[in-house]
Amino acid sequence: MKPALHNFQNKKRQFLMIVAASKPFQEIKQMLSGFKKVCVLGCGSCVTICHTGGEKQVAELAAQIRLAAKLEGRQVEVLEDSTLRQCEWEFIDDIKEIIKDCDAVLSIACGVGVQYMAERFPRIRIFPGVNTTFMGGPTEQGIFWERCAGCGNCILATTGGLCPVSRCAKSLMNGPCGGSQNGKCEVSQETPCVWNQIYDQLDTQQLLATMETIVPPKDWTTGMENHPRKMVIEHLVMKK
Amino acid sequence: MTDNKSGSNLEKLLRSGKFAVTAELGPPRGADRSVIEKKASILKGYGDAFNITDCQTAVVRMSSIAAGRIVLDAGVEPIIQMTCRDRNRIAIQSDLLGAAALGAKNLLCLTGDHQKFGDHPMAKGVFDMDSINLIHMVKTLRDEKKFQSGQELKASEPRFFIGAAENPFADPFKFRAIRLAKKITAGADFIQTQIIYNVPKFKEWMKMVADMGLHEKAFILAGVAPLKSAGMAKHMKHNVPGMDVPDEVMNRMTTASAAKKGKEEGIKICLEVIEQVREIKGVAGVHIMAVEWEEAVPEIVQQARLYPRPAV
Amino acid sequence: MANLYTKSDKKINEEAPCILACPIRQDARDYVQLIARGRFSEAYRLVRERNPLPSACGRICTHPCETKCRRNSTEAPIAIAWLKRFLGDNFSEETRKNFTEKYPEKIAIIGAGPAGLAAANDLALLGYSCTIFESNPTPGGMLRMGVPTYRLPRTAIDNDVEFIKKLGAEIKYNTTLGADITFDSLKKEGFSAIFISVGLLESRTLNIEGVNLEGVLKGVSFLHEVNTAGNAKIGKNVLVIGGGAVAMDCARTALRLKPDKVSVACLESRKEMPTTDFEIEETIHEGAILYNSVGPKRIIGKNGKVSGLETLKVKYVFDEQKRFNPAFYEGSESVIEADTIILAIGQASNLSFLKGQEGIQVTRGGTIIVNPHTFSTAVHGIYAGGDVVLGRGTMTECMAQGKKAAISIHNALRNATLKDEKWAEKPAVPDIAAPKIALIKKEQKQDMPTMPSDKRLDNFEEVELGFSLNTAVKEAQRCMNCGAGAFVDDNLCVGCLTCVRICPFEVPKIKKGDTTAYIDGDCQSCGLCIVECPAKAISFKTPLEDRGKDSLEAIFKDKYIQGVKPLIINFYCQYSAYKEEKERATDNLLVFHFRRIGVLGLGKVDPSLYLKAFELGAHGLLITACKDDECHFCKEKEWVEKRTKYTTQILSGLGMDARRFQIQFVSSQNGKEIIDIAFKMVEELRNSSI
Repeated sequence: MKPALHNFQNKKRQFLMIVAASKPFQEIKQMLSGFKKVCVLGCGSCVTICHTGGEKQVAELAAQIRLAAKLEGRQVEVLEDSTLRQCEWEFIDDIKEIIKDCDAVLSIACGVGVQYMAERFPRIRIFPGVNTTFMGGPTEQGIFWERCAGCGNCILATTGGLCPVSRCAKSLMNGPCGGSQNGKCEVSQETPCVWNQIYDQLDTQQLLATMETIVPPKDWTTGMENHPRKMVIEHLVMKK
Repeated sequence: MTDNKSGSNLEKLLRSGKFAVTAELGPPRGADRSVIEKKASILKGYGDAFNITDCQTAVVRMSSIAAGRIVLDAGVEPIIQMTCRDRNRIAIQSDLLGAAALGAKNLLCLTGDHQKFGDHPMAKGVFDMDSINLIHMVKTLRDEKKFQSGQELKASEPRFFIGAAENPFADPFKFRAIRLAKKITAGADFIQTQIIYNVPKFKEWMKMVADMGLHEKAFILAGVAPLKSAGMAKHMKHNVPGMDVPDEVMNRMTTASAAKKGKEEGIKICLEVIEQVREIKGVAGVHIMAVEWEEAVPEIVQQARLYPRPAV
Repeated sequence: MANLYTKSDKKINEEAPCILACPIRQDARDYVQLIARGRFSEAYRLVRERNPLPSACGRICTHPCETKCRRNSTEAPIAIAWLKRFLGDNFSEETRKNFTEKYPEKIAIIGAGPAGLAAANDLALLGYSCTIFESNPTPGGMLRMGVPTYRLPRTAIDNDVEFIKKLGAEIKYNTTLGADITFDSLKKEGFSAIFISVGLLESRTLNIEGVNLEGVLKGVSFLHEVNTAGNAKIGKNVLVIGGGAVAMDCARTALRLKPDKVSVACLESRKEMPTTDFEIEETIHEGAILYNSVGPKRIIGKNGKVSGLETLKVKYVFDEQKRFNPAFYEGSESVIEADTIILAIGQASNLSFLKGQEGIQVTRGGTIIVNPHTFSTAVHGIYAGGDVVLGRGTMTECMAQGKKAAISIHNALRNATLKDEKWAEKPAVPDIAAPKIALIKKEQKQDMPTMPSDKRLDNFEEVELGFSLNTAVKEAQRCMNCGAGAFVDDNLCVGCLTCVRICPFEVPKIKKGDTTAYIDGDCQSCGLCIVECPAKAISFKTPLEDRGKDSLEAIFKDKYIQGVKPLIINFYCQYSAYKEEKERATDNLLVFHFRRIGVLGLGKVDPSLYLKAFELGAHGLLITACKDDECHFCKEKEWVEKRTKYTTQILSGLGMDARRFQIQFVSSQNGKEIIDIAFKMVEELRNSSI
C-alpha cells in the first residue's frame, strides 16, 4: 500500500526519545478550519512510542476531524499517512505525492518533524498536532518522565548518573533545597526529589563526599538558552 | 569572627556576642511606601535588623531593595533578601551594586520559592545559579573584588553581611548540616533557620552543626513564628514544604482555637520555643517570622525579655 | 547471526493442535470460533468445505482434536465434535448449488462409505462427474451397517449424502463390484479412474472350539441386521466378545433387544480398550457387565447351542515390542454363561472382486496395498482407500484417504500438481506455558444432554440429544483460538513495549537480541494489544476477527436504517450474550432503534470505531460490557472503562450531547436488564434534539 521509502521495511530503528503530548482538539480544529483536504501525518519514531504521533493516533485524529466536520455540517477530506521519521528529507520527500493536493497537513511529529515538513513543502500549510514536551522515557505504561534537558554539558558523572538539571525543579547544583521532604519535591508531591535520589545513589556508591564539594554556577553556553545550537561531525560532512 | 565586613548594626551586635533578634517585614503588593513606613514604625526597636522579602512565595511585591531603602529611611536596618528565581547572574550583580549604593548592608541569599506557588505560575523560572553559588558570588564581589565571571571589579565593591537560610527539618536529614557547611564555606556570615516547632529535632541538628564547628564560623539565628490558629498550624504542617509541626503543638493549637484563644496560645508556644533555643549551644539569636502579623513581634520580643534591644 | 535468524522465527506459522490432529484437517478452531460469535451458517459452511459428512462426524468421530485440545491444560477440552454435530443438526444447508462439470473424465467409486463419499464429494467439487456403486440399497457404508441408530440417526447420514448428491455425484445402489459390475465393464462405460473403498464387510472370527455353535453371531452382521431390520434373533443372556467401538455398539444394541443380561468380555484391561471412555461408560451405564482382561479359550455348547464361554486370564495383551501378542495365565479357566455370543473382535475384507486383477497387490491381512501418497494401486487408474486399505480406520481417517485420493486422481488425469495446503506439515502450537495456566480463566465444559437411561432401552432413539444454541455458544466461547491470535508485523513494530506491558496473559516478548515484539501461541486473542499498539503493528492472524469494523459498515449499508431516529448502535460483549434461553428475544425487541454489534470481548474495539459510528450516522452508541468478575479475559473491564472515558472526553470536546454515548456493565446481554437500558436510552435520545 505504501511507497518504498517512507514505509518501515527493514529499517533498523534507533530512537532519541522525544516526548510529545497531543494538542487539545479544539486548537487543532481551529488550525484546520476552512481547509477542505487535510492529511494527518504521523511519525514512526519517538512520538509513536509515546502514543501521540503513531499510526493509531493518525487514525484517531482523522476520525475526530471527520466527525467534528460532520457535526458542523462541513465537508472535509482527511488523508491518513505516516513516515518513518519526519526529521529526514529523504523520508518526507516520499510523502510529496500523497500530500500534493492537500490544503493542509497536520503533522503529529515532534517540532523537528513539523519544521522539516514546513521547510520542504513551503506551499502547503503545515500545522503541529502535538506539543513537543521533553526528552525522556516511559517509566511505566502510559507514564513518561523528563530525563534530559539537553544542556549540552553533561554532569551525570558527578551526580550518580541522575540529572539535577532536568529533574530538579530549580536545576540546583549543590544538593537538595529545603523543600525536599520524604523523598518528594516541594513543587509536586508526585515528583521525586532528584537530589534525594542522588544522595541515596552516592551513598550506595560510597561517594557521599562528592556532595560536600561546592559546584560552581553552571556554564550555560551550550545550553538551551543559547539556541539555535548546531552540531558538526567534521569527518562526515561531504564537500558540496 | 571579629572583623566587621559590612558595618551593619546586625553584624556589630552579633560580633559583640549579643543575642540578636531579627524579624520579617514583607513589602506590599503595591507602590505605596507608607505601608512599609507603618510596618517599620511598629517594628522599630523590637529587632536588630529586618528581612525585606524578595517576592516571597513567588508573588509579585515591591522590590526588596527599594523597600529596604524606605525602611532605612525610617531608621530601621534592613536585611535585603535576594533570590535566584527571577534574575540571572547579570541582573543579580547589577541589583546588588545598586542595593549597596543605596545603603544596604545585610543580604540574605536564597534560591527562591518556585514560581509554581506564586501569582505567575506561567513565568519562566531563571535559576541560573543556586543559593550557594549566589553566596559565593556576593563574597567574591566583597572580598576579592571580582565579578562572577572572574573579571575584576575596578570601582568600589558592595560590602554585605552575607546571610543564608537553612532548613533543619528537610531531607535527607544527615545532609542538612553538610549543606550548612557548604553555605558557610561559600561565604555565609549568618544563618536564619526555617521556623522551629520541633525543638528536639532542631537540637539534634544543632549538635551536628556544633560538632562540625560551624557555629564558630557563622552566626546561627533560630527561626520562630507565632501560630495564629489551628487552621494555620494545619496548613503549615501539611502544605508548607519542609515544615515540621509536632502533634503536641497541633493539639495545643486545636484546643486553644476551640476556646477562641488561638493567637494567645500561638504566641505562648513561640515564646516557649525561644526560651528553649536560647539555651542551645551555638544559637546566636532568633529570627521571628510573623508573616503579615508584624504587630505580634513587639509582644513576643517584650515577653521574651529581649526588649529593649542593646545598642552597639 | 542469531538476530537475523530469530527474526525469521516470527514467520513460523504454528497451527492449532486440534486442526493438525484431524486426519482431514478439519478447521476445528475456526468453526468453533464462528459458533462463539453466533455465526452459525458460516461455521457450517466452513465445516462442510472440508468435511463431506459433518452430521455423522459430529456424532461418531473419535475426535483426536479434543485429545490434543490445549484446553486440556486448564480443565477440559472443547467439545469440538459435539459442536460440529450442533451445526450439522441445526444449520445444514446446501453449500454449492450448481455442479459445473469442468472435465470430461468420469470417475467410478466403489462403496458409499466415508472414504467413497469423501472422494466423490471432492472430485465433484474439482469438476468431475462421479458415480458411486454401492452394494447396499442405502448409502453410508459402515456408518449405516455398523453404527447403531441410537448413536447415529439415519437422517443424519441421509442429510449429508443428499448434499454430496447435489454436488453432482451419482449413487447406484444394489450394485456390487465383482457381481453386477466389473473393472472391465466400468472401463467400457468410460470411467477413467476407479476408486475402491469397499470397506471391511466381514467380521473376524475366532479360531477356537465352538465358533460354529448355534447362537454365535458375527458383530457386523448382527448390527447390520438390527440397523436395517430393526431386530435380530438373540437369546436371554448375551455375551459380546471384543473391546472396541463395535463391541460397545453390539452390547448397547443388544441391550435394546431386551435380553435378561448383556456382558462384554475383552482381552484388554479397562485402560487398554481401543475405544473412547465415553462409549465404555455409556455401555456400562446402560446395564452391560464388563469383563476385562479375559481371553476366549473355547465356546461351550449344549445340544449344538451356545451355553457359555470358557475364558483364561490375560497376562498381557501387547508384548515388549508393543505388538498385539496376548499371553494368558495357565489354569485360570472360568466360564461366563451365555446363550448368545457376538463376536466383535474386528473386521476383515472380502476381496473376491479382485479375481482377475492380480496386478493389485494385497497384504497378508487382506488389505489392498496402495502408494501412501497417491492411493494408487499397482494397476494404473485403479485407486483404493478407506478401511480396505487401512485395515481398521476411523471415520475421519477413511475420509482423509478419500479426499487425498481425489486430489491424486485429479493430478494424474490432468498431469497437475494440485496440493491441499491444509495437509502441509506445520509445527503445532505448543502446550500452554505452565505459568500462564493460572492466568487463563477456567471455564467448565458443557455437558451433552442425554436421554435418561431408563428411557433408552425401549427404543433405538438417539441417546445424545445435542447442544442447544446457548450451550453450543457457551462451549465454543471456551476456545482459546490457538494459533490464530495476535501477530506482530516486525516491519511495523517500533519496539515500544506497550503490548509487553499490557497483555493480561504476559505473552508478548522482545526476544533477546531482537528489536521487535513477538507474540507466541499462548495468545488468548483478547485484542487489547491490537488496539493499544501505537504503530498499528499488531493484527489477528485470521480474518475472522474484524473487531466490529465490518459489522459496523454493514449496518450502514442497510437501506432500512434510513429514517430510523434515534438509531443506536450497541457494541456488546458476546461472552455474556448467550446465557438465557430466549436468546433471540432481546434482539427482536430492540430491532427498530438498535443495531447490535457483538464482539468477543470489547477489549478488541478501538475507540476510533466509536467515532466512526457517529461519523457514519449513528445517533447514539451504547456500549454494554461484562462485569469485572465475569470477564472471559479477566481484566478487560478496566480497559473498556478507560477507553470509553477517553472517547467520552473526545466527544464532549466535539460538543456532543453526553447522552449519545453510554456505557453499561451488565451480567447478560439478553433479557430485561439490557432491554430496560436500551429503552431508557431510546427515550432519552428521542426527547433530545439530536
